[in-house]
Amino acid sequence: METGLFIQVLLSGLSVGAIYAIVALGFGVIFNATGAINFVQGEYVMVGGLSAAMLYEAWNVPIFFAILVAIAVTTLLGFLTEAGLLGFGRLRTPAAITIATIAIAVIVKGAAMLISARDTYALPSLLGPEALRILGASTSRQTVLNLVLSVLVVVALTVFFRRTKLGTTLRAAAGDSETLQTFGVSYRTTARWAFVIAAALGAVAGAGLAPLTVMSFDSGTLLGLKGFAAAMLGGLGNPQGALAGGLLLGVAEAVVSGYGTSAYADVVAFVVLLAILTFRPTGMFGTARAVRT
Amino acid sequence: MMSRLTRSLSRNNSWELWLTIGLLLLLPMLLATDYALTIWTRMAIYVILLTGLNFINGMAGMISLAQAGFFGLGAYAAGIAAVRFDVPPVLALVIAPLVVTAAALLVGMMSMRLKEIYFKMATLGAGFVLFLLFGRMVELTGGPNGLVGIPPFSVFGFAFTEPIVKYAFVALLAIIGAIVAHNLLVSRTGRALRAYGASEPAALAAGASPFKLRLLAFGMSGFYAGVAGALEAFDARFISPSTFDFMMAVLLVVALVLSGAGRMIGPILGALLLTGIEVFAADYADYEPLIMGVIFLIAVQLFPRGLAGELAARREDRRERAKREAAAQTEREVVRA
Repeated sequence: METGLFIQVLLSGLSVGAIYAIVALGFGVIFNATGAINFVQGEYVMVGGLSAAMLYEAWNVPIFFAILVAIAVTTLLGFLTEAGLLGFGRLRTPAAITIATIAIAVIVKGAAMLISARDTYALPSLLGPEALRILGASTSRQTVLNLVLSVLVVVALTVFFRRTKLGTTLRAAAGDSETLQTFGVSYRTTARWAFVIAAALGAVAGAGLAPLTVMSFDSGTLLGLKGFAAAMLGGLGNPQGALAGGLLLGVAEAVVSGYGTSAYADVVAFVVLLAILTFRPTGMFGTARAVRT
Repeated sequence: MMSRLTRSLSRNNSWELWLTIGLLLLLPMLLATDYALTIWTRMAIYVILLTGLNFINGMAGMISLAQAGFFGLGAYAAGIAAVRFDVPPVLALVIAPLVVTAAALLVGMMSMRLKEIYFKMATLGAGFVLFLLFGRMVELTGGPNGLVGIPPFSVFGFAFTEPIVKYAFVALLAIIGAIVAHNLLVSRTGRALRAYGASEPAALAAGASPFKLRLLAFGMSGFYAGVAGALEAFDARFISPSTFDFMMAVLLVVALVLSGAGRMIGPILGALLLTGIEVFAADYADYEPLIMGVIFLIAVQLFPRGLAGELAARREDRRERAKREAAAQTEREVVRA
């Protein structure tokens, strides 16, 4: 029974942790391209999850199409985010962009509140409702899907950044965006791709999370911060680190709510965030940037 | 850059202090109905809160998103002391700032050495932990439903329940807070702090110690937030976590940055802005976040350095241009001669 509980806790932690990992990847992509922290990342997760669940529950759209439409809508939102941030041509420093993303996050949240009328929605699992039994523990089939999804995303992103021309350009922007501009690649092009990719990642995370927990217009802030904690844990901008950080954070939360009290599970991410920023701000696996003055 | 630094250091800002005091004394005379006075009281509480935030955001030049959490900690510390432990309000008003100062110093020690965006995230994380705890420590805080039954502020059995008395008390503390902040600002320590806000390398070169200064800024901001929080608890007599959420943390920073971070005038203008938003939002609750977000985005796009900073920069540019033109003029005259 004890091992059963442990495996149960582990699985539910991994299941949510896989989602945190995907959110963390989104933070990394934007950070690498612009040096800014994107506060809209959590809202992408909310928009992806909420719109898929709304389409499915309120408008009876088949689940598969609902998820595809949700990803398309969120990706468009990423495109619009970049336009809203950099389209006016005045914001270029990471600190100013970070502040402006807070404004956009507030706008997205406000719009979602009006559209969803503060209702909550949820999705069923793509793999059906039957529970999965492993070593005396039972878990949602979504767990398997999320884990596979997060690994696939990390592999796909790694291949994208290493093997494609666009990916290489984005990596170069992370290294030295000014030199890249002298090669004729505009800052806005790299930023636009980064936001589109990050938004798509957020939508995927939202679709993976909606079967595990209900989504509402105000889910985004907390999810974004947890994703950021996961990103910092693994080293901001490091894809493999993001995966490790997300899974670790998910399991840590599950351990607190499984063996302690679920009321304090949400606090775990922030304790982790503060601890990592205080003692090892480069994350467990390091990041190429200076984090201290 | 250098001239802006020296000017910002030599600026005494005395008129800004007088204007702050004047507004706090005169505004309630414009409209002194009971309803208006409760709004003015909230405004005065925000003045204290923003004066505290100004030590970090304005003078030390870093953006802290923890102030809403500190504000809440002050409110809950005072409220819990009064409701759960029957502590007299006067004592609770002393305890709350001490508790928050200690918490602020802890957060300060943890986050101080981080670069700007990481610092922002660390303070946001600290504020969010507090916000979550307000909602989760149900036995102590009353949870999401809030803490009820907070007594009004009282001294020797005389309860501050009349709106005009409440306002006078809060405004008095706001004025004292502004004077203390002003005196600190013009002192040697304050100049060093402002030098940090203006140019860190220059301040370092001048031998100012960043660690102690930033810790001082954090401690001061925590103390002011504690006072503001306790006043909020005794004024509203009911507190709930949602008052101290992420949106509040953002609003405080926006209000201060838009109205002039690092200047004595910032807190009062920011408080007016915040109170205006609250009054306005009461009528359009559903649209508030959307409208706020759009205004905020436009403001950031138009004035990336804040309204006051932008105006100062323009004045600076005009002055520089005038100087250049004058120099060119003399040059032409020299050439002609």
